[in-house]
Amino acid sequence: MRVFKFVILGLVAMTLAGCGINNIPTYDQAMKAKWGQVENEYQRRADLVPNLVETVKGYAAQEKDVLTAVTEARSRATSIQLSPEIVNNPEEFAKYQAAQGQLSQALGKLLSITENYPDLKSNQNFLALQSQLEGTENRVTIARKDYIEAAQTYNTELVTFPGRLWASTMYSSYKPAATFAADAGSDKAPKVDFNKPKS
Amino acid sequence: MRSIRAFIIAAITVLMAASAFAAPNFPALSEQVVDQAHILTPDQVTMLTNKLATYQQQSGHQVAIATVSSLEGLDIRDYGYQLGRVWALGQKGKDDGVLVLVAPNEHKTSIEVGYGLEGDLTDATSSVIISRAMLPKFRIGDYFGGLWAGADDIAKVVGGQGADIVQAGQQQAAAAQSGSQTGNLGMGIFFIIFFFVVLIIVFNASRGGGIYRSGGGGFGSGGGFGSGGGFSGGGGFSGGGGSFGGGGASGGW
Repeated sequence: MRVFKFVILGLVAMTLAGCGINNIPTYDQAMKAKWGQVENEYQRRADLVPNLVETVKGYAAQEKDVLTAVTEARSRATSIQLSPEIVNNPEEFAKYQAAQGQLSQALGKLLSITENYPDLKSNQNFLALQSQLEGTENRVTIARKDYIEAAQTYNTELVTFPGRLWASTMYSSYKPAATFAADAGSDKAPKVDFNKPKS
Repeated sequence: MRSIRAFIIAAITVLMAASAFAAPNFPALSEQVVDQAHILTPDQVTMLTNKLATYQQQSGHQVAIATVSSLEGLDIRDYGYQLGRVWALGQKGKDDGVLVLVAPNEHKTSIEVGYGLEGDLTDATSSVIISRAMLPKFRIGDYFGGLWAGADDIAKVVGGQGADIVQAGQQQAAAAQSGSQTGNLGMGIFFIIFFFVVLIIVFNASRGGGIYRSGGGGFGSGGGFGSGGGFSGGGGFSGGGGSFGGGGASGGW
């Protein structure tokens, strides 16, 4: 008799799984993993900045304003305490996003002034840092794109049938995920092309 | 009547949305080298394919080369990581694929590095490989030479000699700045290579082998690698399920 009960319970669970009862937590986890990647890439960028500033300082110490702007933007971006619920908190999300956007702009300016210092541009250390920064900006773009897709899937599941049913009954604590607003400068990596051949 | 109009508008909106998000028209992955832009001869494709297939057998890493006739308006890095994901280069869970992408019409090239190899083949190293090994050849139209040298360097770096390549790049740059030294060194190396080539030819001739036979033996056995290439077990080459997230570098000429 008891065995029957278990079998029936199992069957019910399997049927429900077919109805997408697991979709919301699954998509939620996927979305949060993608968000983790975004944070990682921003962190990687922040880690590159002190080295970059030091290297540029060696050749262009007089560009104090630009260098200070980068350092300040970095400390502002890294001082934000990130809670795991940031993706469900549009305000916190927007604040983090704005700080990272400011760092993007400051870095863009820094890279554009390096054009005026040929010695700096032929410095191997700088070239390495520059390619790392470019790669990191590229990774940020991709991580953001991946997150946006995951968040869309998750948000759609919350408001469409049958996910909507589960959201209102079993998963009432699950809130929609915040997504990126396309604000100036933050969605585009600073584009500075140093590789134009002279000949 | 009104509902029909609403339906048509909705249908058009959906169609437009679909086309706006449509992925670029990626070439199909048939072998390690996909020469959509037709910048290589069939022999060159075979040689590169054999090289990459051998490398995959030795190291397990999937390295592929793609030449495309158009980036369809995308940035090369944007196109590159998407193509890497579509082809799913690298082993599943290891993400150890590398894609070398060339867009001759846009004069752009990039190295896309799978997540798993980002620590070995860093952005900085990729950038050095592109600017030192590939671009100089591409500038004079020698696509095969550039890809061959680039593939050599990638194999070396992923084998754990990345520091050497960066260092060599730095030394080369330093030498270039100091001028004539490079010329002398280059001439020296040229003569050494020339000497060995002559030696080999003489050696072969004395054994009655002949130059052409020895050359043919090295590259003619291409068929042997064909079946071992992919993970699919079939005749062709296919991706192992790896993914890409923007590691690598790009350059233009």
